[in-house]
Amino acid sequence: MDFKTFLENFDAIAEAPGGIPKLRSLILEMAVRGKLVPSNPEEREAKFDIDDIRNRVKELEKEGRIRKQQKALPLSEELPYRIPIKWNWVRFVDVASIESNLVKPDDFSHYPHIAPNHIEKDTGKLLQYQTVFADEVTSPKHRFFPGQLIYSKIRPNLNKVVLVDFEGLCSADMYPISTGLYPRYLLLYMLSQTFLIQVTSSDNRLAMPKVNQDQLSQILIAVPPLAEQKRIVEKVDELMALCDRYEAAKQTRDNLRQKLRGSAIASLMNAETDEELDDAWAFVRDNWHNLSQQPEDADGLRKTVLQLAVRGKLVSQCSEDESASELLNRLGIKPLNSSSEKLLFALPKTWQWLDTELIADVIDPHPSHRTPPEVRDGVPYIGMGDINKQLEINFNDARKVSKEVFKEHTERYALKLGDFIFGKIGTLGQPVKLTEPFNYTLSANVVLIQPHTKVVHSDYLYLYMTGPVMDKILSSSSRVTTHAAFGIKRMRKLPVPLPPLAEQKRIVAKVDELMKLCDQLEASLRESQQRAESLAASVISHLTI
Amino acid sequence: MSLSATIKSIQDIMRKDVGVDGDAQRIGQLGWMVFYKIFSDQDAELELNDDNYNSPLPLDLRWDEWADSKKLGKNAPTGEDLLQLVDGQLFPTLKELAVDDLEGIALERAKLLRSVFQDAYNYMKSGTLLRQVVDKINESIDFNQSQTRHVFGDIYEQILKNLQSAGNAGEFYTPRAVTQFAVDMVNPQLGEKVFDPACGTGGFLTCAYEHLKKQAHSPEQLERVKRSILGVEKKQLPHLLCVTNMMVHGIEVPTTVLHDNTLRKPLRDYGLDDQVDIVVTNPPFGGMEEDGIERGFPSEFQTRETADLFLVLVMELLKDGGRAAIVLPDGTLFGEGIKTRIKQKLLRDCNLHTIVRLPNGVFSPYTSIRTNVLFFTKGTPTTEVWYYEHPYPPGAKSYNKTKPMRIEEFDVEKAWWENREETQYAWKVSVETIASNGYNLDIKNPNAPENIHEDPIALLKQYQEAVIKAENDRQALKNSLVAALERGEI
Repeated sequence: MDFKTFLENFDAIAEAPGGIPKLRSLILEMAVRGKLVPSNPEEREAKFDIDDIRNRVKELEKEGRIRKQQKALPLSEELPYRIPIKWNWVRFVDVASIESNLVKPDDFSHYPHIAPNHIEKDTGKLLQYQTVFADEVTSPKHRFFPGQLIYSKIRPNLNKVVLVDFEGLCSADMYPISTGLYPRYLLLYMLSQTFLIQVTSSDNRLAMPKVNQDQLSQILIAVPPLAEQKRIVEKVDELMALCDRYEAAKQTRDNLRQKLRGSAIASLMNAETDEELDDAWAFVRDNWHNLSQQPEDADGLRKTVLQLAVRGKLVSQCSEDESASELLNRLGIKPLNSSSEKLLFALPKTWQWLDTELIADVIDPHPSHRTPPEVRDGVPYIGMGDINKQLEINFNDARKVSKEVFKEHTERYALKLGDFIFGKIGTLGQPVKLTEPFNYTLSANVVLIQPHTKVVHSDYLYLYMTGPVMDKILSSSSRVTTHAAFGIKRMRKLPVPLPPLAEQKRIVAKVDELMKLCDQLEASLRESQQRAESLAASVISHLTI
Repeated sequence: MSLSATIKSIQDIMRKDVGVDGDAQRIGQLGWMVFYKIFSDQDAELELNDDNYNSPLPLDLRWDEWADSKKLGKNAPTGEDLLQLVDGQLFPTLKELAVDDLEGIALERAKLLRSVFQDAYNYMKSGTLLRQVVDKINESIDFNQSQTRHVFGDIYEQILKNLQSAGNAGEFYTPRAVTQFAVDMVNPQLGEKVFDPACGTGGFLTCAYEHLKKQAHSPEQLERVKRSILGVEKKQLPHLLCVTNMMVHGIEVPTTVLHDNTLRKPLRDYGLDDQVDIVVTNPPFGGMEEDGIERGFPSEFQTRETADLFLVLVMELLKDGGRAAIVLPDGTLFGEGIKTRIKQKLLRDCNLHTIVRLPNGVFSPYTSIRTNVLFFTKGTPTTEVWYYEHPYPPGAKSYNKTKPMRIEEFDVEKAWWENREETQYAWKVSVETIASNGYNLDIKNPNAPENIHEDPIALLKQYQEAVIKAENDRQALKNSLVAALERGEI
């Protein structure tokens, strides 16, 4: 990808999930390639600085102040990338030394103690840490001094390195490192991809990825002139601060959007009168753009559809339809308002509130509630546990019960298309349509619902029971901590808003159509999110400047 | 070396011993040794300060005489000799300790010593390892040093806390923050009797003692305070730990802590004499009692759940106007059946004024069950119940070993206690609502932020501003990147 394309797609990249960390990584990479700040013709070349460092180290070695350092291998032919003229490639050990210094923690109990888990991944930030005493440290630790870098040698992929300005002890899984470079330049170099790739490619341990002293010593470092190192660090700081600001603003915005969505959907779901419902819908309609940006938003939209459907708002009432009460009269069903729940909201004139038991058989498939014994090659015994995410029955793992149980069940009920089950213990609700062939039995943890098709369209009853009205009834009846249950008695008395039969059909068709649109929207949102994500991921590895 | 490191190294030594199996035995072993050390130290001090005091300890068995290797040097017994001394002399003598010619405080202490050693057991089979443990205890636990003495109570508590992570023994330990808060709110006064019918290692009792000690102004008052802290513990090990705990807090003769089962005595046999002013307790949850225990209770309250039995018992044990704080699991709050009847009685006979709902993990790692502290006063019926949902401290998602619950966290509740109003964490429910809800006390916080949806219109405005800000910040970043990278070279 070239720079122009990058800039053109900057917004998409920055907005993608994980986009900002990618940008940060990109900034570091540009920094260590010498792309961020111009070089100053007045400054001397890096190799003079490196010579100074080498000489100083030699002197210290001679005086016995530091241990003899590893020897740097000659530079290989193949170097990671082209560097500016005044820069130099060196080995890690040319410019930095690993200062292992194991001590007994007992003598340092009030020193700070730093372990890999006190360093943030990829950022070089120190997190909350405690004293040696508080961490109850007993095994030997490295002692470190101000101005050193502490690098975690285990799991190098986590990229944990930090620059300290105090004295303390660090885990024996970390190296204290002193450097003759501008320490913060080495810090950002060690956080860059260039460094990480070298560390991880030299690593071929499987169980516990680790980088050892020999490997670390020979890592290639791109060294700019000393003054330029400082300028690079300043520039990176400036850009990182901008990233921070943008990240925080994005976070705030996304949180608010989520709250907005939650509140808009909630007011739609909680509307009791028609006016409230109209207002809530108007808000959703006017802010459609904000409420349908992420794949997760599709759920709210589905709820909206179902809510509007059972409130009589999705399709218009038709005066020629036989009204619900006329239909009931004709069939001799008395719509007793015996329902224990209070009627939940106002209905269109042609609709009628009814208890579920008047329009469907509500059957307890296995009243003994004692789970039948498992047999080989038996009949599947289907409970809510056998329902997959697509709300289909998964027969493979189902318990198999004997033919006698099957026979006993068939005497109690005969399944037909349009029937569905409803979780009553543990998993509540989540109606599942039953499919042919009906060579299975139903578990005691479900209720079987067989709609009377003369009064109610199966799919209408089904969509009502999947919808937000049901969610609300269930969540108010299930307690915080108890084993959730929604008994068969409550199921029989559950109030259903019944539209005229003809209207039910139109509602079902409309809901189907809208649900398909919701699915499509979700899929396309998901895809565009994934595209943006992979675009962001490819930026660093392929951006050529 | 830090204390928990000491405990750990002692446990490591014991692990090498063939006689000690598992944490429970290790703790049992450590329990009597620490008890004996502290008892001996205290004895020496009593002898020094009180001419009339006749130590019940035989001279040659005192801790100093065989354990203190600093004093004894090479003469300190070890190996077979030490084992012979402990198993052959110390235990048999103390189990059969003659008490007849003693009187006063010495008599009581002798009885205590005898009862502790009758129940205790020396598990260790290697005298050499036993010597190592003895030396460790000498090194790090010096009860004689006056400067460490006043903090010793805290140190001992630290030991008990470490037990919590050592497996099953955690069931006897209630976190200090909880005991302290409960005692502070119940606020015992001088002259009032405080009782814990399932006292475990004595967390509530020591808190209550420290609370009352502050009020005592004369030695006589302090003596009376020491006699007004009562406890009962069913199991031997926590009882031993509790007795030691009371001793290190300064109660020389904790004879008020009995090794018994409060539930064994039938409820009707508790009389006015047994009634107390204050009950603070964390009864065992889900514990099963031996068969027949529940028959001591009226038939409508017969259940196997110990937490429920204790709740009934506490109502019985309180004087009219008596106050209680009791830690109960969520199960008791929402449970039905017998639990409903118990709660009905509670609301009728007592004023259940406050329920503090504790978050998960207060008792971790022993159990992650959710618990509540119920505060009530006997005598007047409940009219309304205040709930306070205790939040995690900012940034925390749970409690654990390194980040336990701290007493400071309860400062908000303490401030709220006298000036109650509904907040994000506090709400009240009338007794009628509870009754109509089948006495389910497990009521969700209606004021929790996730349950409240703000006005969409207001949110929309904030959101639009946030969109603009994010847009601007993104552009600023882009422009800086462009400026840095496009230095005219590309």
